[in-house]
Amino acid sequence: MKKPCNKYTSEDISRFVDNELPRDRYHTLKQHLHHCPDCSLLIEQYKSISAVFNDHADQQGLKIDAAKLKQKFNTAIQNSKKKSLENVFGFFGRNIYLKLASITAILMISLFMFQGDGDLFDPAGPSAIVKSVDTDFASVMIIETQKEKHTIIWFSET
Amino acid sequence: MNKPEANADIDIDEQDLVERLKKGQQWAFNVLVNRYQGRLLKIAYGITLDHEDSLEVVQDVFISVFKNIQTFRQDASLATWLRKITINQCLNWKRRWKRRFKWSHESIESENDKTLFEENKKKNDPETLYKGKQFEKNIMQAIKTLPEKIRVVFVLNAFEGLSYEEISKTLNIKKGTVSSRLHFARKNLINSLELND
Repeated sequence: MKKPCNKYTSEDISRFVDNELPRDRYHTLKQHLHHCPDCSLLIEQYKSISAVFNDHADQQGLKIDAAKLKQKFNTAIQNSKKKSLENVFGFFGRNIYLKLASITAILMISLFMFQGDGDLFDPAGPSAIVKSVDTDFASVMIIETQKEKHTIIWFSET
Repeated sequence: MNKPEANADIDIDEQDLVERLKKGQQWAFNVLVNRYQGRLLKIAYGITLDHEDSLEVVQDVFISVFKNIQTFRQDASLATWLRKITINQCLNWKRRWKRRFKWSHESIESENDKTLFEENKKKNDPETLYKGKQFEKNIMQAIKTLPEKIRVVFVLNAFEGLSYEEISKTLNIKKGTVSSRLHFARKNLINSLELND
């Protein structure tokens, strides 16, 4: 690439082409162009590259195939409808059998909990309060578990 | 409400168009496509440098707009939003397909160029036209060698005429970076052209 004169860099010229130089510098360079063929040539080259690229893209005559776009558009609509339907059904959206099985399992476990002898989740059963003391400053409770006879002391400041 | 012809050049302002798009009116979508496809296709072509890729990309842009129009807050113009989506789609597209390495197998003289040449031959001096076409081919070949991030900046400058400030906002880069990338693009293109001479 032919270099511009020593007064300006090729980046200055590039910014000049885009009207991005500070106003003072822009006007000084514009004046300078009257007697500097090197800078003038570079400006012409920079401008012509953009113009040719622009014209080349214009000449491509690109146009979207309406039928193809419509097909994609319809698929997108169908997918969004399907998605909103899934949201409406929420939990039952996809694998309904798996979800029914889960509900049945939860019901069965609940029945065991409330109808059985209470062994399912708490083998030790409910605890008993052996002694409790309340004062103005604190409360103390002595609790004993039923089967293992473990003692729990609970203290709380009032 | 009257339903205008899908292909008609409908005089509807942007605000109205966006509202109708948000309501899911399909004819508004057709208006959007008719109004913006040319501009977006040109940007996509500038970045991908491929007919088919640019068509696919812009189709995807419109589908993406249809899906996400509710998220468009209108703090920028519709054109700005569409431009941003197109650039992102192009860059993602390139990432997806970069292994294809198709450009190395591409003929420099496409069918379109041939037709264009044939059409203009009668009107213009053949030698001048040939030189012009050769210059264009050389430029396009040189543009293909530019790194993608440089080419995007060059496209926004050359096609959309955006200022450095606008390019920096669109691509989330500094103004100084815009300036240096444009300078890099121009310097490299001229160097490549001189090598071809």
